[in-house]
Amino acid sequence: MIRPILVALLEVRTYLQDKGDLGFSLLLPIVIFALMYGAFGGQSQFHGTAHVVDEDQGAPYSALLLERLGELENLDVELLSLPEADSQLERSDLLMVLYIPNGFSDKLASGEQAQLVFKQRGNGGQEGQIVASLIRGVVEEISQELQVQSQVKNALAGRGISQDHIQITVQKFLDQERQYPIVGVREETVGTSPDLVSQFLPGIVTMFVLFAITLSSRALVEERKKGTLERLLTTRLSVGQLFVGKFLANVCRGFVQTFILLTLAYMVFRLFTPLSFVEALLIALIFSAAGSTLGLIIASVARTEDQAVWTSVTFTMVMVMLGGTFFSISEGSALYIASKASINTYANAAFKTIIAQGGSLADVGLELGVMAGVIVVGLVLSRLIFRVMPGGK
Amino acid sequence: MAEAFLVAQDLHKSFNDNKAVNGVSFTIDKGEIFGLLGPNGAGKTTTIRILSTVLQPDRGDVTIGGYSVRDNADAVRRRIGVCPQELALYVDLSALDNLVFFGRMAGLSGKEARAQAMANLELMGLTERAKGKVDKFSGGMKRRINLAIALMGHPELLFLDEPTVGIDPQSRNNIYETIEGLRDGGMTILYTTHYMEEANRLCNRVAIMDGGKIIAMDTPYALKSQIGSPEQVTLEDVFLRLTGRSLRD
Amino acid sequence: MMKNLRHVWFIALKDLKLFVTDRMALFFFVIFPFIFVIMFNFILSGVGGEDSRLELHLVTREAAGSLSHQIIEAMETKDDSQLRPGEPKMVWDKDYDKARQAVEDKSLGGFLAFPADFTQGVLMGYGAKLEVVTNPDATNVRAALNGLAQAIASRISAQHVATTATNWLLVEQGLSTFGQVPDMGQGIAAGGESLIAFKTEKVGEVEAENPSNYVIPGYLVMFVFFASALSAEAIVRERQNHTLERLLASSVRREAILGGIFAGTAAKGLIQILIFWAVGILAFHIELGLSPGAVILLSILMVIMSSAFAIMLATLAKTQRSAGSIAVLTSLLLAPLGGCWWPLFIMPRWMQFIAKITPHGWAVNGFNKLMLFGADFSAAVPEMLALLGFAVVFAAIAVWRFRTSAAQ
Repeated sequence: MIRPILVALLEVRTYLQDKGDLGFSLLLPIVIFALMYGAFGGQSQFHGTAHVVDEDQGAPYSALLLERLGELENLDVELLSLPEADSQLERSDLLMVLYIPNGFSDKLASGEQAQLVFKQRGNGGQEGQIVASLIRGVVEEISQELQVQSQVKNALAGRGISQDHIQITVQKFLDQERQYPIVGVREETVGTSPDLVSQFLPGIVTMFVLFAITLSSRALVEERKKGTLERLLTTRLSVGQLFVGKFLANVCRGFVQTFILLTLAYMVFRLFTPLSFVEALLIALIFSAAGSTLGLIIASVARTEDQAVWTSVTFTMVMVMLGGTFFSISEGSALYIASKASINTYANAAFKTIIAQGGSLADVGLELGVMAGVIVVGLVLSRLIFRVMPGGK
Repeated sequence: MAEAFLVAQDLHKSFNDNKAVNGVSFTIDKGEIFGLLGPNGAGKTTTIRILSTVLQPDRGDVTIGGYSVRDNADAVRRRIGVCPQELALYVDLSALDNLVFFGRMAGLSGKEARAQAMANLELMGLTERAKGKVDKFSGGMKRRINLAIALMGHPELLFLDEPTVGIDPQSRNNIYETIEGLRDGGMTILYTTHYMEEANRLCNRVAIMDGGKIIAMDTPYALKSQIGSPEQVTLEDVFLRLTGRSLRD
Repeated sequence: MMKNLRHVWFIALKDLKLFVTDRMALFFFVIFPFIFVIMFNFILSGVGGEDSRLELHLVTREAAGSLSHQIIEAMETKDDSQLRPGEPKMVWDKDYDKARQAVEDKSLGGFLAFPADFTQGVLMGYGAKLEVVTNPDATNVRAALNGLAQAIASRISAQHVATTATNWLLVEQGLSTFGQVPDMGQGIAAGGESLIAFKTEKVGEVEAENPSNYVIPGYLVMFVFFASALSAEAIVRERQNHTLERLLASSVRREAILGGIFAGTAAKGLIQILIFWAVGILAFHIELGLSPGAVILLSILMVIMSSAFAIMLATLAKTQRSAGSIAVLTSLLLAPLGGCWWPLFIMPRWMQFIAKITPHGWAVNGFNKLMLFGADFSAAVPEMLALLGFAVVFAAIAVWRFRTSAAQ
């Protein structure tokens, strides 16, 4: 048993000394996790685009409307020509467009009611309805400002106060009101935010562990082609011992990688208790073992380094996607059934139970059992097809 | 007197602080097999790479067939064929495909390349394996393909860098006979090897390099005469006397 | 010149021949990307087709008869069938605590609440704050409720200004304010017709977006780059087994070798994009937008850039193994950064900015403009120029570093 362990230790030492390998297996998951946390973490804000056709070009009130819309932080304004807007609506490239008709400003200036038009498909889509709601708010503001002027003028009619003076005074109070409104808005968020660390972390860790293990199949193929595997057999190492050594090597690699990543997660996010950390490491060990058998199968099947790389990347990406790393898969769908074939599904579920839900190993018996089954079947299958020499035994 | 086909004058080449070639000069006559011998790290391969235009010398020049490698490298390349020490083959392609490809690179038309490829395969005794993937060939067969490629394009000067390393006596003998046939046909050959009996058998003259310099150059007979009876002394004895018995990198 | 072009052609042909001999790698080269396309079509089908009417909930903590009651009563939707297209449904929740619990449980996205002192604060002039209560996931509901709150606030503000301004002017002139100042409460409650009305014209229904229109371009970008980057390993292998050196010793120029390797890699990429678009159009019914020519040109530029990257990587990597590792590493890093795995336009602004330092980001952005947002050829020119720029930089580094012998 010593010889297989020596084979395994040599591989782990090589791994820890290889900067490229370390960069791939440690730095990249951290970067990807940071990206996803930055993209999906925090409270997201709505940001939409108001598509506007301004046929009242240059006129004061349409310009005012566009200016006020542009001041909204969560809204971009895109001006389109009439033919552009119509054709994009026709093709469903846009779902809602605001049309400011010709004469809009003139009507408002003369005190008449003016009209804006929403041209839309259906209800305008989710974004369209919210953009419409924001537009209505701004339009209401402008409308009220105009109405206030006439309201005050009507109230003070015949009192000998000049219209200009009324207008200036009302404008002064409007400006003050805009700065210090009598009715403000306060936001309150209730309920728990999704715990993105617990949601993404297991998936990213299992993804890169599986990548590292399966990609190491390339090195095994290279060794087989070069004859270094065969050379090992000229020592007192048997084929079985060599196989066990390579299996243990991958398990150790995967375990060391997960250990480092989970330790970093503990230091940064304080995710674990000492007990849950140990439990997570045990899951990592079992997952690495399952992944290792799959890596050996790939190494045995692939005849060239290119084949090994393509097979590893394909296999890992499929496992990762089915395992729900980036998107949750809704129950009852065909993909949900397919996800049961991915070891990442079980590993991610086990990690989430331990890390996010405060569960124990007893709660993840099914997941551990499935992965253990994969280890057993994988070991038998990979041992049957493992070759030391190209085309040989 | 035979005309000189290759003239190397005062060649120098360094890599960082290592002077790999340090003032090498020699000529090779047309139709001659010239042996370049030396221990590991003597500068033989670097010299061949300069002569085959892969490397530029720091100082000195080489003319081949009247053309300078510095000024007329393209004209030189049209006249040479190189059989490197490493097996420079596309192992995933067939023997025929390898030869045709390098023939096309040498400027032959498709038809010419194919015809010459078949001829060279026949010369090497590999006609029946023409369509076989090189990956599946034995070491000896790969060496013969390696040589066959060097012959594509009818070169006037052939560089053979240890062409018989690691192959069986049958393949080696086949290569010797091929080389002798080529020489009889008028080809000029620069031959490097660690096997002294090869050099003794094949070469008209040999140069022995050590530490980047040529330390002896003459016919094998004349070199052997320098240290004893040519019938009793071997070229290996001469080699070891001149270069010493200490191990080299 | 002709001789050089011939050499380029033969080297490219040789590389393609080598490529097709490895059947398994060829299989994955073709099939692998489509595994993802199919998966993501499943996951994302139906997305983009949501057009259900917005429902906004209103709650008050004041007693009956208050100003907030009057406002909500005026706004509440009593008959759904009377709602115009796109007009939100206003729902009056009578119990504040139940509504809050529903938000915490995430059975309700959020609501707009009038505080207990709303009427007093408004009429007495010391102000009040409307509360927008949402759960963290309810981004859209939060924005809509804020819009509604602003509309209510601006109406009240207007009345406040009317009252205050009138009062101020009368006092300034030394006139009596009795019976002259508009009643603010009445003004707010009465509402009245707005000076600016809205008309809604429905031109059709919302059709669900074909997810393939953004899945296929994203994965095309990722896999074209990935396959090209992996070619770097094959190029390094040629360098290490001295076949490149052998070519140099024949009459093949360095430029022709570089050009031939580049052409071979690009040819593989072109085959790849041809398969992608053919399968995309025939099997997944994607639309190439207003300018299919621009889509094709963008794809070709993507192939050129990826091939240039592969050559550059081959000149930088010392061994086959490091070439392969760097290829996988850069592919896996640039794909998510560049928006290949999820649409860039749903990402925060800073991430969209970071995407611009990757060639993937430019390519995906160009495809989205052309295929999702109805842009024409000229709109995608910046993206095309960016890809060309990346290609030129990579190629320049490759030419500078190109060496044919591991010992040189």
